[in-house]
Amino acid sequence: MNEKDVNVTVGQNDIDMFCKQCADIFEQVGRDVIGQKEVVEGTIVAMIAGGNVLLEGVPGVGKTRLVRSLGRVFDLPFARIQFTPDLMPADVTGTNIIVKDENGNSSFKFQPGPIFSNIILADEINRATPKTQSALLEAMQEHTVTVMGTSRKLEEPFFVLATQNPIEQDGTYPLPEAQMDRFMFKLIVPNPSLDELMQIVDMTQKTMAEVAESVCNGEQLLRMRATANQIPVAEEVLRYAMIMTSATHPDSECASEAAKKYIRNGASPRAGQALISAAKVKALIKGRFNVAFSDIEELAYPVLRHRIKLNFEAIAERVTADDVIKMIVEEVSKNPKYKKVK
Amino acid sequence: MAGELFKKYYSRLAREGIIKSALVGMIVGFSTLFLTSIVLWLINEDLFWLAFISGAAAGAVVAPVLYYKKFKPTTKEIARRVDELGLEERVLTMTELENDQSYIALRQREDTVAALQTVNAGLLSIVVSIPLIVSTCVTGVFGVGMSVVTALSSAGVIESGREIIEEAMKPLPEYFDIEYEVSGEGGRILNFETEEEIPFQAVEKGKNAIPVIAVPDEGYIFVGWSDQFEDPYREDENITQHMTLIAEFAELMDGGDMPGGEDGFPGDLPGDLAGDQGNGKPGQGPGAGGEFIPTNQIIDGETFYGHEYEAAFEDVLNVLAQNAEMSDRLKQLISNYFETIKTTTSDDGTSGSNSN
Repeated sequence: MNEKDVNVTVGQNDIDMFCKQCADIFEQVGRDVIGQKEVVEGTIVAMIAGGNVLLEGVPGVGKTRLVRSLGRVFDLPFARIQFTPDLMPADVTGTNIIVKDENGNSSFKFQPGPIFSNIILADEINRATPKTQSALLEAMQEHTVTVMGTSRKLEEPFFVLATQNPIEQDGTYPLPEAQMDRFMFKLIVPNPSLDELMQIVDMTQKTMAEVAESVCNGEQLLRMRATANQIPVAEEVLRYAMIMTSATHPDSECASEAAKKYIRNGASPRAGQALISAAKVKALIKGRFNVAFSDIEELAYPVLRHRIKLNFEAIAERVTADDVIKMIVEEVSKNPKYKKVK
Repeated sequence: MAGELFKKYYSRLAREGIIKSALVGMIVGFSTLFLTSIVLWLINEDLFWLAFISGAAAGAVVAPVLYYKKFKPTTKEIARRVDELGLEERVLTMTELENDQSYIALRQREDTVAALQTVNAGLLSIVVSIPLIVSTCVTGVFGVGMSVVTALSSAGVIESGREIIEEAMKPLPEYFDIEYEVSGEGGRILNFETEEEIPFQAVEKGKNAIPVIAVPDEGYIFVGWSDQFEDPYREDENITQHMTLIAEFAELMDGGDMPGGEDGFPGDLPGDLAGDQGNGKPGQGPGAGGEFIPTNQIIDGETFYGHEYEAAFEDVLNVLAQNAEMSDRLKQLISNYFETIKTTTSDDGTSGSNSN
């Protein structure tokens, strides 16, 4: 199904369906994933908004389980690619193989790779070589795959949910900026709290398998996306989001002091697009029919943290990307002129 | 629709706008008052009331204009302020979608109206920035203060700006130095009033110099000044140029005469009267100096008998005060003194001015 096939006229049913589907999705994912509320919400928001998600966390905190659970909840073809250093691009995209017809004539036939699914779990994505990582670039942005000069469109909805481990950096290849930029969110998966840990252990003593049930299909997901897309954004709020993005650039006209001090390269325009798309979904999930400044401020962290390049001073002072974003959000939110359209 | 919803908020924000306009109007009024007062004070016109009228007029014109041009609350401004009460930009979005009839816009409006019901309009506080209040106070103090100055100036209590400026614009007085030097050695030049040495003095143009006197050392005599002035006391008047005055002293030589007689004989001492011989011998008339004795000099017309008699006089006074017996030396000195007087009187028949 193509995204443009979805009727964009939103009515009462769409709103009701959105609310019900969201509640069901959260409920079902909650059966498999204990805690991690922000990560679960962020992933679902990104999926509804049509973005890819990079999940970063130490081993064992439930990254892969979350993605597998989402694959079950959305009732969509799900493929898992375990990234390793010897993984080749063709292993991801697929390749042309020689087949013989009944007359014995040989011809090329395209054998689709695992990327031809709706939900891709790119597990430990930073273990593959840059060449293989780059095989995902076109798929993530244009939702097409080109092999031997032939472009093939991927089925909608299409998501890449990637995981990476922030430790054990030996034998890994940091994702290039271009690929980082194609992830709508980078979500940090924290260690569970004590209560959550007890629940996790208790649950996994019974079964290790995911128990979430399918509550949403691809068509419904696209419909939810179209509904969220209709949420209006006031001019002031749109400007505020763009200022938040622009404030990460040390050389821009509204550069924040934090950016001037700690950032080498700021976020790309994709960050602005991601902020608005995700803010619409977040607002509707909260039961609001407009985007608020607070939505932009909350989403600044997952949208911007992988898009800003810290400079040496930040590294030397052990200032993290989240620290810098916090400074930027505080600076921009406290400046009243940024909340007004001239 | 928005207009009806905003009625209760509009009145509060309109009040805020009026207060802001009034404050800015006051700033303009006080500034005008200040500037007009300065001008009137400077030109020394007796029109300080004009400053009050101009200040009041400026404020009265600016305040309403500002209200209608800048501070009158617009729908968007009201929406922005109401949203700050926790409505999360609902009202702002609603005002933008006012003419949108789509389902989502209708839902957004319903959501906003429902949210507005939960908000207390009384929470919408009137906000006036502190810098605006401070500016009003500062300009007020300056404006009123300057107008008071102008009023006092008009009443003649204080000087006007023009007078102060004219005073300040006067050229600085020109001073001339008078340097006093002594040719060689033999004396000092003293401030006549303080009796301290005076190497120089600065005198304002056209004014008189402090009187000075040239005092010779022992064994010397004052001869004259470098500008041919002969009196050791001098009080120069109407000074119009720098001057260097050199006092000349001459050492008294044995015989009491000054060198320089045209006939090759020593000249007379100052103070000798006419009629003496001018040959180094004692004169015969009143004021004659007589034969040179170091302690018997005529200075400034009076005979000086030197420190010997002065010291003796002090000793005698001490003896008399203590009612003690006088020493032989003192008795001898007193005897000599009276002998001298007796001799002088018998020589020329008068005690003269030398008998000091």
